[in-house]
Amino acid sequence: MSNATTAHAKPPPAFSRYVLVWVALLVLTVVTYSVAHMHRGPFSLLVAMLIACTKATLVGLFFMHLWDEKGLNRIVLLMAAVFLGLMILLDVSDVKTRFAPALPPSVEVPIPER
Amino acid sequence: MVAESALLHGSDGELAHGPKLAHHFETMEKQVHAARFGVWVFLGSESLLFAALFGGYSVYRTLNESAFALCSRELNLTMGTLNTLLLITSSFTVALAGYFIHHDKHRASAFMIFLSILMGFGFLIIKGFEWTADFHEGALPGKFFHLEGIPQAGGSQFFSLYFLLTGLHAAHVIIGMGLLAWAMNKVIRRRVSSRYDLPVEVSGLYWHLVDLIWIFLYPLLYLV
Repeated sequence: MSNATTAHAKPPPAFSRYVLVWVALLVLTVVTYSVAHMHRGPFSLLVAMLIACTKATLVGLFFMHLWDEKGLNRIVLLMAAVFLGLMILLDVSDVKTRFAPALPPSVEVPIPER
Repeated sequence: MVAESALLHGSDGELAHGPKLAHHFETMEKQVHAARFGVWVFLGSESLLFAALFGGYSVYRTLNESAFALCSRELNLTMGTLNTLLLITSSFTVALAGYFIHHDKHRASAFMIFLSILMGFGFLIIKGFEWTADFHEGALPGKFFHLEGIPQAGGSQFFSLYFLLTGLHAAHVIIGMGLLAWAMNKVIRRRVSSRYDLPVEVSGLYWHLVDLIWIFLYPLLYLV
Protein backbone atom coordinates (compact mmCIF):
# COMPACT_ATOMS: atom_id res chain seq x y z
CA MET A 1 0.00 0.00 0.00
CA SER A 2 2.86 2.33 0.78
CA ASN A 3 4.02 2.58 -2.84
CA ALA A 4 0.55 3.35 -4.17
CA THR A 5 1.14 7.07 -4.58
CA THR A 6 4.67 7.02 -5.99
CA ALA A 7 3.30 7.22 -9.53
CA HIS A 8 3.27 11.00 -9.55
CA ALA A 9 6.77 11.35 -8.18
CA LYS A 10 7.80 13.06 -11.43
CA PRO A 11 6.22 16.47 -12.12
CA PRO A 12 4.00 16.68 -15.22
CA PRO A 13 5.92 17.60 -18.37
CA ALA A 14 6.47 21.27 -19.09
CA PHE A 15 4.98 23.10 -22.08
CA SER A 16 8.44 24.00 -23.38
CA ARG A 17 9.37 20.32 -23.65
CA TYR A 18 6.60 19.69 -26.17
CA VAL A 19 7.61 22.73 -28.22
CA LEU A 20 11.29 21.68 -28.24
CA VAL A 21 10.42 18.16 -29.40
CA TRP A 22 8.13 19.52 -32.10
CA VAL A 23 10.83 21.88 -33.42
CA ALA A 24 13.37 19.03 -33.38
CA LEU A 25 10.97 16.84 -35.39
CA LEU A 26 10.39 19.60 -37.96
CA VAL A 27 14.14 20.22 -38.32
CA LEU A 28 14.85 16.50 -38.79
CA THR A 29 12.12 16.27 -41.46
CA VAL A 30 13.54 19.26 -43.35
CA VAL A 31 17.05 17.77 -43.08
CA THR A 32 15.99 14.40 -44.48
CA TYR A 33 14.05 16.15 -47.29
CA SER A 34 17.01 18.36 -48.27
CA VAL A 35 19.41 15.42 -48.20
CA ALA A 36 17.11 13.45 -50.51
CA HIS A 37 16.85 16.47 -52.82
CA MET A 38 20.59 17.02 -53.10
CA HIS A 39 21.85 13.50 -53.53
CA ARG A 40 20.49 9.99 -53.65
CA GLY A 41 22.83 7.05 -53.56
CA PRO A 42 23.03 3.55 -52.13
CA PHE A 43 23.13 4.87 -48.55
CA SER A 44 20.20 7.31 -48.86
CA LEU A 45 17.67 4.90 -47.40
CA LEU A 46 19.98 3.98 -44.52
CA VAL A 47 20.51 7.63 -43.58
CA ALA A 48 16.79 8.40 -43.98
CA MET A 49 15.88 5.40 -41.77
CA LEU A 50 18.35 6.50 -39.07
CA ILE A 51 16.71 9.94 -39.04
CA ALA A 52 13.28 8.27 -38.93
CA CYS A 53 14.38 6.16 -35.93
CA THR A 54 15.51 9.32 -34.13
CA LYS A 55 12.15 10.99 -34.87
CA ALA A 56 10.23 7.91 -33.71
CA THR A 57 12.23 7.84 -30.48
CA LEU A 58 11.40 11.50 -29.83
CA VAL A 59 7.68 10.92 -30.46
CA GLY A 60 7.63 7.78 -28.30
CA LEU A 61 9.55 9.25 -25.37
CA PHE A 62 8.03 12.72 -25.15
CA PHE A 63 4.69 12.80 -27.00
CA MET A 64 3.64 9.30 -25.87
CA HIS A 65 5.22 9.97 -22.46
CA LEU A 66 7.30 6.79 -22.35
CA TRP A 67 9.91 8.95 -20.60
CA ASP A 68 7.52 9.42 -17.64
CA GLU A 69 5.81 6.04 -17.88
CA LYS A 70 6.76 3.40 -15.38
CA GLY A 71 6.90 -0.36 -15.04
CA LEU A 72 5.98 -2.77 -17.75
CA ASN A 73 4.25 -0.12 -19.89
CA ARG A 74 7.64 1.20 -21.01
CA ILE A 75 8.75 -1.93 -22.80
CA VAL A 76 5.64 -3.11 -24.70
CA LEU A 77 6.16 -1.00 -27.81
CA LEU A 78 9.91 -1.52 -27.63
CA MET A 79 9.39 -5.30 -27.71
CA ALA A 80 7.14 -4.97 -30.77
CA ALA A 81 9.91 -2.95 -32.45
CA VAL A 82 12.58 -5.50 -31.45
CA PHE A 83 10.63 -8.41 -32.92
CA LEU A 84 9.87 -6.44 -36.09
CA GLY A 85 13.59 -5.75 -36.45
CA LEU A 86 14.39 -9.43 -35.86
CA MET A 87 11.87 -10.53 -38.48
CA ILE A 88 13.22 -8.11 -41.10
CA LEU A 89 16.82 -9.10 -40.32
CA LEU A 90 16.07 -12.81 -40.74
CA ASP A 91 13.95 -12.28 -43.88
CA VAL A 92 16.59 -10.16 -45.60
CA SER A 93 19.51 -12.40 -44.61
CA ASP A 94 17.56 -15.35 -46.05
CA VAL A 95 16.97 -13.65 -49.40
CA LYS A 96 20.53 -12.25 -49.56
CA THR A 97 22.21 -15.61 -49.00
CA ARG A 98 20.10 -17.72 -51.36
CA PHE A 99 21.47 -19.68 -54.31
CA ALA A 100 20.70 -17.39 -57.28
CA PRO A 101 18.37 -19.73 -59.25
CA ALA A 102 16.24 -20.04 -56.07
CA LEU A 103 15.33 -16.37 -56.34
CA PRO A 104 12.44 -15.01 -58.41
CA PRO A 105 13.63 -13.28 -61.59
CA SER A 106 14.29 -9.58 -61.24
CA VAL A 107 15.54 -7.00 -63.71
CA GLU A 108 18.37 -4.64 -62.80
CA VAL A 109 18.03 -1.16 -64.30
CA PRO A 110 20.52 1.68 -64.11
CA ILE A 111 19.53 4.40 -61.63
CA PRO A 112 20.21 7.93 -62.87
CA GLU A 113 22.19 10.13 -60.45
CA ARG A 114 20.53 13.28 -59.31
CA MET B 1 1.12 11.22 0.84
CA VAL B 2 -2.36 11.24 2.27
CA ALA B 3 -2.94 14.68 0.79
CA GLU B 4 -1.76 13.56 -2.64
CA SER B 5 -3.96 10.50 -2.44
CA ALA B 6 -6.96 12.67 -1.59
CA LEU B 7 -6.15 14.95 -4.52
CA LEU B 8 -5.97 12.02 -6.90
CA HIS B 9 -8.94 10.06 -5.75
CA GLY B 10 -11.30 12.60 -4.25
CA SER B 11 -12.42 12.57 -0.65
CA ASP B 12 -14.45 9.38 -1.00
CA GLY B 13 -11.68 7.46 -2.75
CA GLU B 14 -13.32 7.79 -6.15
CA LEU B 15 -13.03 10.20 -9.03
CA ALA B 16 -15.49 13.05 -9.40
CA HIS B 17 -16.38 11.55 -12.77
CA GLY B 18 -15.18 8.70 -14.94
CA PRO B 19 -15.14 5.06 -13.92
CA LYS B 20 -15.38 3.92 -10.33
CA LEU B 21 -12.56 2.03 -8.67
CA ALA B 22 -13.02 -1.65 -9.47
CA HIS B 23 -12.79 -3.90 -6.42
CA HIS B 24 -9.80 -5.84 -7.76
CA PHE B 25 -7.60 -2.74 -7.87
CA GLU B 26 -5.98 -1.34 -4.75
CA THR B 27 -6.03 2.26 -5.93
CA MET B 28 -7.31 4.34 -8.83
CA GLU B 29 -3.66 4.92 -9.75
CA LYS B 30 -3.18 1.19 -10.35
CA GLN B 31 -6.45 0.94 -12.26
CA VAL B 32 -5.37 3.72 -14.62
CA HIS B 33 -1.93 2.15 -14.98
CA ALA B 34 -3.53 -1.17 -15.97
CA ALA B 35 -5.80 0.61 -18.49
CA ARG B 36 -2.75 2.22 -20.05
CA PHE B 37 -0.97 -1.14 -20.17
CA GLY B 38 -3.92 -2.49 -22.18
CA VAL B 39 -3.56 0.39 -24.63
CA TRP B 40 0.16 -0.25 -25.01
CA VAL B 41 -0.46 -3.93 -25.77
CA PHE B 42 -3.04 -2.86 -28.37
CA LEU B 43 -0.57 -0.40 -29.93
CA GLY B 44 2.07 -3.14 -29.98
CA SER B 45 -0.29 -5.47 -31.85
CA GLU B 46 -1.19 -2.61 -34.23
CA SER B 47 2.46 -2.17 -35.12
CA LEU B 48 2.71 -5.92 -35.74
CA LEU B 49 -0.19 -5.60 -38.22
CA PHE B 50 2.03 -3.25 -40.20
CA ALA B 51 5.03 -5.52 -39.55
CA ALA B 52 3.86 -8.00 -42.19
CA LEU B 53 3.87 -5.25 -44.81
CA PHE B 54 7.21 -3.88 -43.62
CA GLY B 55 8.64 -7.40 -43.86
CA GLY B 56 7.25 -7.82 -47.37
CA TYR B 57 8.74 -4.48 -48.31
CA SER B 58 12.22 -5.48 -47.06
CA VAL B 59 12.18 -8.75 -49.00
CA TYR B 60 10.96 -7.27 -52.29
CA ARG B 61 13.27 -4.29 -52.02
CA THR B 62 16.22 -6.66 -51.51
CA LEU B 63 15.17 -8.47 -54.69
CA ASN B 64 14.48 -5.35 -56.80
CA GLU B 65 16.69 -2.60 -55.42
CA SER B 66 17.01 -0.52 -58.57
CA ALA B 67 13.33 -0.77 -59.55
CA PHE B 68 12.31 0.32 -56.04
CA ALA B 69 14.67 3.31 -56.20
CA LEU B 70 13.24 4.34 -59.58
CA CYS B 71 9.62 3.94 -58.43
CA SER B 72 10.32 5.97 -55.31
CA ARG B 73 11.38 8.85 -57.54
CA GLU B 74 8.03 8.72 -59.34
CA LEU B 75 6.28 9.73 -56.11
CA ASN B 76 5.72 13.36 -55.24
CA LEU B 77 8.40 14.03 -52.61
CA THR B 78 7.10 17.53 -51.82
CA MET B 79 3.59 16.27 -51.06
CA GLY B 80 5.00 13.41 -48.97
CA THR B 81 7.13 15.83 -46.96
CA LEU B 82 4.17 18.19 -46.52
CA ASN B 83 2.14 15.28 -45.15
CA THR B 84 4.97 14.36 -42.78
CA LEU B 85 5.07 17.91 -41.42
CA LEU B 86 1.25 17.90 -41.06
CA LEU B 87 1.17 14.64 -39.11
CA ILE B 88 4.07 15.66 -36.86
CA THR B 89 2.34 18.96 -36.08
CA SER B 90 -0.97 17.19 -35.40
CA SER B 91 0.88 14.89 -32.98
CA PHE B 92 2.25 18.00 -31.30
CA THR B 93 -1.24 19.54 -30.92
CA VAL B 94 -2.60 16.25 -29.53
CA ALA B 95 0.22 16.23 -26.97
CA LEU B 96 -0.71 19.84 -26.09
CA ALA B 97 -4.37 18.81 -25.68
CA GLY B 98 -3.16 16.38 -23.02
CA TYR B 99 -1.07 19.12 -21.43
CA PHE B 100 -4.03 21.53 -21.29
CA ILE B 101 -6.44 18.96 -19.86
CA HIS B 102 -3.81 18.26 -17.23
CA HIS B 103 -4.10 21.92 -16.25
CA ASP B 104 -7.93 21.88 -16.53
CA LYS B 105 -7.97 24.23 -19.54
CA HIS B 106 -10.88 22.58 -21.31
CA ARG B 107 -11.36 25.12 -24.10
CA ALA B 108 -7.68 25.12 -25.10
CA SER B 109 -7.61 21.32 -24.97
CA ALA B 110 -10.71 20.94 -27.17
CA PHE B 111 -9.30 23.47 -29.64
CA MET B 112 -6.01 21.54 -29.89
CA ILE B 113 -7.89 18.30 -30.60
CA PHE B 114 -9.99 20.15 -33.20
CA LEU B 115 -6.79 21.39 -34.90
CA SER B 116 -5.44 17.82 -34.96
CA ILE B 117 -8.61 16.51 -36.62
CA LEU B 118 -8.35 19.31 -39.22
CA MET B 119 -4.76 18.31 -39.94
CA GLY B 120 -5.91 14.71 -40.29
CA PHE B 121 -8.35 15.89 -42.98
CA GLY B 122 -5.55 17.86 -44.64
CA PHE B 123 -3.37 14.74 -44.67
CA LEU B 124 -6.12 12.69 -46.34
CA ILE B 125 -6.81 15.39 -48.96
CA ILE B 126 -3.13 15.59 -49.94
CA LYS B 127 -2.96 11.78 -50.04
CA GLY B 128 -6.05 11.80 -52.28
CA PHE B 129 -4.35 14.17 -54.74
CA GLU B 130 -1.27 11.94 -54.75
CA TRP B 131 -3.29 8.79 -55.41
CA THR B 132 -5.17 10.52 -58.25
CA ALA B 133 -1.85 11.48 -59.86
CA ASP B 134 -0.58 7.90 -59.42
CA PHE B 135 -3.70 6.52 -61.11
CA HIS B 136 -3.22 8.82 -64.11
CA GLU B 137 0.49 8.00 -64.46
CA GLY B 138 -0.09 4.25 -64.35
CA ALA B 139 1.81 3.89 -61.07
CA LEU B 140 -0.44 1.00 -60.11
CA PRO B 141 -0.04 -2.57 -58.84
CA GLY B 142 -0.09 -5.72 -60.93
CA LYS B 143 -1.24 -5.71 -64.54
CA PHE B 144 -2.33 -2.05 -64.32
CA PHE B 145 1.29 -0.94 -63.91
CA HIS B 146 2.55 0.94 -66.97
CA LEU B 147 5.30 3.39 -66.05
CA GLU B 148 7.89 4.15 -68.75
CA GLY B 149 11.37 2.72 -68.22
CA ILE B 150 10.66 0.76 -65.03
CA PRO B 151 10.51 -3.04 -65.18
CA GLN B 152 7.12 -4.52 -64.39
CA ALA B 153 8.66 -7.08 -61.99
CA GLY B 154 9.84 -4.68 -59.30
CA GLY B 155 7.62 -1.76 -60.23
CA SER B 156 4.29 -3.45 -59.73
CA GLN B 157 5.54 -4.89 -56.41
CA PHE B 158 6.58 -1.44 -55.21
CA PHE B 159 3.18 0.01 -56.02
CA SER B 160 1.31 -2.95 -54.50
CA LEU B 161 3.18 -2.27 -51.26
CA TYR B 162 2.75 1.48 -51.67
CA PHE B 163 -1.03 1.27 -51.94
CA LEU B 164 -1.32 -1.37 -49.18
CA LEU B 165 0.86 0.60 -46.77
CA THR B 166 -0.60 4.04 -47.47
CA GLY B 167 -4.14 2.62 -47.66
CA LEU B 168 -3.87 0.79 -44.33
CA HIS B 169 -2.29 3.90 -42.83
CA ALA B 170 -5.07 6.14 -44.21
CA ALA B 171 -7.63 3.80 -42.61
CA HIS B 172 -5.81 4.31 -39.31
CA VAL B 173 -5.87 8.09 -39.83
CA ILE B 174 -9.67 7.92 -40.27
CA ILE B 175 -10.10 5.75 -37.14
CA GLY B 176 -7.76 8.07 -35.23
CA MET B 177 -9.83 11.10 -36.26
CA GLY B 178 -12.94 9.33 -34.97
CA LEU B 179 -11.22 8.63 -31.62
CA LEU B 180 -10.08 12.25 -31.39
CA ALA B 181 -13.63 13.47 -32.09
CA TRP B 182 -14.88 11.18 -29.28
CA ALA B 183 -12.25 12.62 -26.91
CA MET B 184 -13.06 16.19 -27.99
CA ASN B 185 -16.73 15.58 -27.19
CA LYS B 186 -15.72 14.39 -23.70
CA VAL B 187 -13.57 17.48 -23.20
CA ILE B 188 -16.33 19.86 -24.33
CA ARG B 189 -18.86 18.13 -22.06
CA ARG B 190 -16.30 18.29 -19.24
CA ARG B 191 -16.37 14.55 -18.68
CA VAL B 192 -12.59 14.64 -18.34
CA SER B 193 -10.30 16.75 -16.18
CA SER B 194 -6.84 16.72 -14.65
CA ARG B 195 -8.11 13.99 -12.31
CA TYR B 196 -9.31 11.72 -15.09
CA ASP B 197 -7.84 12.28 -18.56
CA LEU B 198 -7.77 8.72 -19.91
CA PRO B 199 -9.97 9.35 -23.02
CA VAL B 200 -7.69 12.20 -24.14
CA GLU B 201 -4.56 10.21 -23.37
CA VAL B 202 -5.69 7.00 -25.03
CA SER B 203 -6.93 8.59 -28.25
CA GLY B 204 -3.76 10.69 -28.21
CA LEU B 205 -1.59 7.57 -27.95
CA TYR B 206 -3.40 6.05 -30.92
CA TRP B 207 -2.85 9.22 -32.94
CA HIS B 208 0.85 9.24 -32.03
CA LEU B 209 1.13 5.64 -33.26
CA VAL B 210 -0.42 6.70 -36.58
CA ASP B 211 2.25 9.42 -36.73
CA LEU B 212 5.01 6.92 -35.79
CA ILE B 213 4.03 4.59 -38.63
CA TRP B 214 4.04 7.47 -41.11
CA ILE B 215 7.51 8.53 -39.88
CA PHE B 216 8.76 5.14 -41.16
CA LEU B 217 6.60 5.04 -44.30
CA TYR B 218 7.98 8.40 -45.45
CA PRO B 219 11.61 7.26 -45.98
CA LEU B 220 10.60 3.75 -47.13
CA LEU B 221 8.37 5.09 -49.90
CA TYR B 222 9.67 8.57 -50.77
CA LEU B 223 13.38 8.55 -49.93
CA VAL B 224 14.74 5.29 -51.38
